[in-house]
Amino acid sequence: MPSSNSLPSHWHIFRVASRLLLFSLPILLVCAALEFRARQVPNSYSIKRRQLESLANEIDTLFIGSSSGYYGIVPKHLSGFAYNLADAGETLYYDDALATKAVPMLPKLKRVLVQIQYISLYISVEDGPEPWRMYYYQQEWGIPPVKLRDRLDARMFSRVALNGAASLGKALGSLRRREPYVADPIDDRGWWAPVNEEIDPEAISPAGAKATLDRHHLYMKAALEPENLSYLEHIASLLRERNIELVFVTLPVWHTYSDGMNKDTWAHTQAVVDGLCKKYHARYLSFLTSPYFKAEDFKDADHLNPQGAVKFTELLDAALTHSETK
Amino acid sequence: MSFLSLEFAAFLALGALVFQLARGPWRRLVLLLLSYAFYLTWNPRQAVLLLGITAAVYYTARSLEKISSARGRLGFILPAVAGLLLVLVFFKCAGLFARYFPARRGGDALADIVAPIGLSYYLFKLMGYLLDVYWEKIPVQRNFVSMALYPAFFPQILSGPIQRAGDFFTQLEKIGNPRSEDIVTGLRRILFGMFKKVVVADHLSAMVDAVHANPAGYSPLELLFGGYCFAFQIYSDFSGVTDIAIGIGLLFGIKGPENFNMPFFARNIQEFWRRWHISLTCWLTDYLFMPLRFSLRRFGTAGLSAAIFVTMVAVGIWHGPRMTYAVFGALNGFYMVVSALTLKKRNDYFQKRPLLARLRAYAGPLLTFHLMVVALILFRANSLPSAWLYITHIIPGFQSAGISALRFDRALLHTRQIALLLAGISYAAMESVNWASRQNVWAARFDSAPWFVRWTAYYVVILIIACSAQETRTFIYAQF
Amino acid sequence: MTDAEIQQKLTAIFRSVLDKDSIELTATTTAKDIEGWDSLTHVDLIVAVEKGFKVSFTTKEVMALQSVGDLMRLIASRCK
Repeated sequence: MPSSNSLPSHWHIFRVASRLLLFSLPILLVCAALEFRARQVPNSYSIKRRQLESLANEIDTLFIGSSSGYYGIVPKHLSGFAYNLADAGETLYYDDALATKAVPMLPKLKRVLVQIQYISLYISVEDGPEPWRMYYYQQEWGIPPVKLRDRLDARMFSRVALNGAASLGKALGSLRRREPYVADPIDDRGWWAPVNEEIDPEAISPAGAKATLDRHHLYMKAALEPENLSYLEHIASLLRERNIELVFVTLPVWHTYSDGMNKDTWAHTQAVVDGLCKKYHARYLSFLTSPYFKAEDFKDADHLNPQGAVKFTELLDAALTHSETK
Repeated sequence: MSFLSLEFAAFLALGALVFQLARGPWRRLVLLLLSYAFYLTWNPRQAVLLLGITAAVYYTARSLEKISSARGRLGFILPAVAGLLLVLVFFKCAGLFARYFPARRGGDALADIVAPIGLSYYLFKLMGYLLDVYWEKIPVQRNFVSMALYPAFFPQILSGPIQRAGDFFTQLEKIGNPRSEDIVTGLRRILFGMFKKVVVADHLSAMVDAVHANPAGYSPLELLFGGYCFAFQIYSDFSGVTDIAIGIGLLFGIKGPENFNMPFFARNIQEFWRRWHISLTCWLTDYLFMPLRFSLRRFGTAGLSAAIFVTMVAVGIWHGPRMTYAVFGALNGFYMVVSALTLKKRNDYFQKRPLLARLRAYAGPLLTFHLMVVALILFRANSLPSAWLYITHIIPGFQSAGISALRFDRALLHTRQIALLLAGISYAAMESVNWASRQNVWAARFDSAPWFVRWTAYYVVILIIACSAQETRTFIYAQF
Repeated sequence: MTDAEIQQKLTAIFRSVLDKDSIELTATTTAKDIEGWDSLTHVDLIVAVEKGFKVSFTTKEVMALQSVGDLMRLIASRCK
């Protein structure tokens, strides 16, 4: 390339820039093609969104929460027409944002069940073990990350960046073979329903429960309580305005988990929820240490397996209708 | 923003465009704003610290001009340099202090103090600048924009190289006249750096992490292999990052100093340290070793040994207040002293024996490499006891019971045969290209090849990088 | 001493310390031009110069040296 002394500078920049552009064109085309293909790969968020939209006119009960409820509530075993909108790792910020989006979409909605667990008031996705979930909420639901800093990221709009190279390869491979790509085994009402799931017997043991609790304690931060409380208040006031019944639900855990919970922390959470119930005329049904559940109902110390989920949902349904007729 | 992210690519493209469109003195301002914008994405408060320290150094140097007496100048410069050193020590050791004295009041506040990004790099740059001004090697920088740009220059702030003030300011004068070759050279350098980091270094880390997490669980052969892998990993990682830094700098008309020169081919330890992390060792040589050695010159050999040893320990602890780094430095100090004191005698010995001298040409680099592999085990180890365990377990016979000396279990090393093969090939390819690019004949051949040949080469490299990309691990050297 | 004498004596010192009879010095010679002149031998050279010319330098003066020319001027200033 000639040196800059012989030609005026702007001309030079134009030459270099246009060559670079030409060079990048094939790369950009390949990236665009990959991005297009990547968007065809379903995930739990995209599947649930489509389900919610297609069933919008029939849903009268909505469940919102995290993995405990995602695995633990079987909508078909609830009276009426229920839908399970919960997802793994979901926190109250997203519970609130989803409720805000979903409630107006559902003309027949009469009741919303919101999950409260030991960790609920003290966690956030961005400070948790799987912060990348923020970008799925952004891409599928249009819910932006809480912090401005997290919004400066290519994963806000790029599916390729979000999925990562390895998983993208697998997904594209199955697309090519025209097999259905199964992200999560979700039934048609949003419940996680695996077939022949392998359960590790160690998971509900004291050691397994301790590992889970240690992980939870690592991510729980007292400083997050005020904002999480504000999200609960927002959900409660939103539902109160529309005269939709609000029921807080705590799913069962195995005793190895509840034995290790900090009693004061849990008592405080329960007191907070009781306060909200009084203020917004809501109900709180806690099945945390329900004696009705045996070891065979759990897949790990704080999650029910499909058998336990059916059992729990029927129990929950009975409690809900019982209180109604009272 | 990490260098290896899409957001940074966008930032760089936009920034380079704005820079190239700007004219003359505006370019310095654009570069300064870009540098601070980049720093702000890491930590806004620390950016204020950087600006403050820069301003303090600027005024100190300008005030120095007005003082003519030698004692006056010394009295002025000594506290300034000491002050910068104190800031460095404070931030590096605050966390350490809190860990050892947790009961103290304010211990919690101390524990939260994290060393600002790039602190070691920019403080060294500023200390060097002050000393160069004091020794009258370079003129005082009158322009505040230029002064502020020197420590904050974003390609170099995360992991170096540590460019000298004189070199930087001289080049800064000329950035009004860009050369299009610089842009192409810069982009090629960035590409090559990415290859080293993403294709070579990141794929060696799994094995290295495995052996260092549990040295007692591996055989001598596996541990030795792990030692080699770490040497190759840190070399590829750091030289890759340096290449990216130099390449980005070239997009803005600034060529940074080299940090590596095929170090594993060094014939002896002294030569190794002239070829490894060159900008750091040159800095410590010029600003620590030389003055120290000169002051101790009356103590003959003892003085020389002390100066060498202190300098090498400084190289070690520059990386952090950890015993493993200090011992790494001390071990290298020991190597260097022995080498320096015996070099003349060794040269004389081999001069008289030409056959052995030819053998020495191969044995020298091999021995030096192995000495460094041992030292690097210390560098990487999670603790001193772990390092000791590692090194002793390499000796056949000292490994844990039930492990044969020559066992090589790929599964335990978290790798597969194909991965090993690919890592080896990519490393060899990397070093060959490295070597070839320094030979004018090969560089000329590549430059004069038709454009589609060059572009195909670039596309192939980009494809390989894209296919190899895993979750990017942080650069080992960004935390310093 | 004249400049030429200084240069001659200096060249002899360099040749002796660096053990190379082929060394030639000019005012613009720097460490890069001479093989074997590195940071370790630099101080040996200065010490030999101090002994040979019976002078003594300060750290600051030594650090400021950029070339052989600077060194010769420094020696000349001491030998007055």
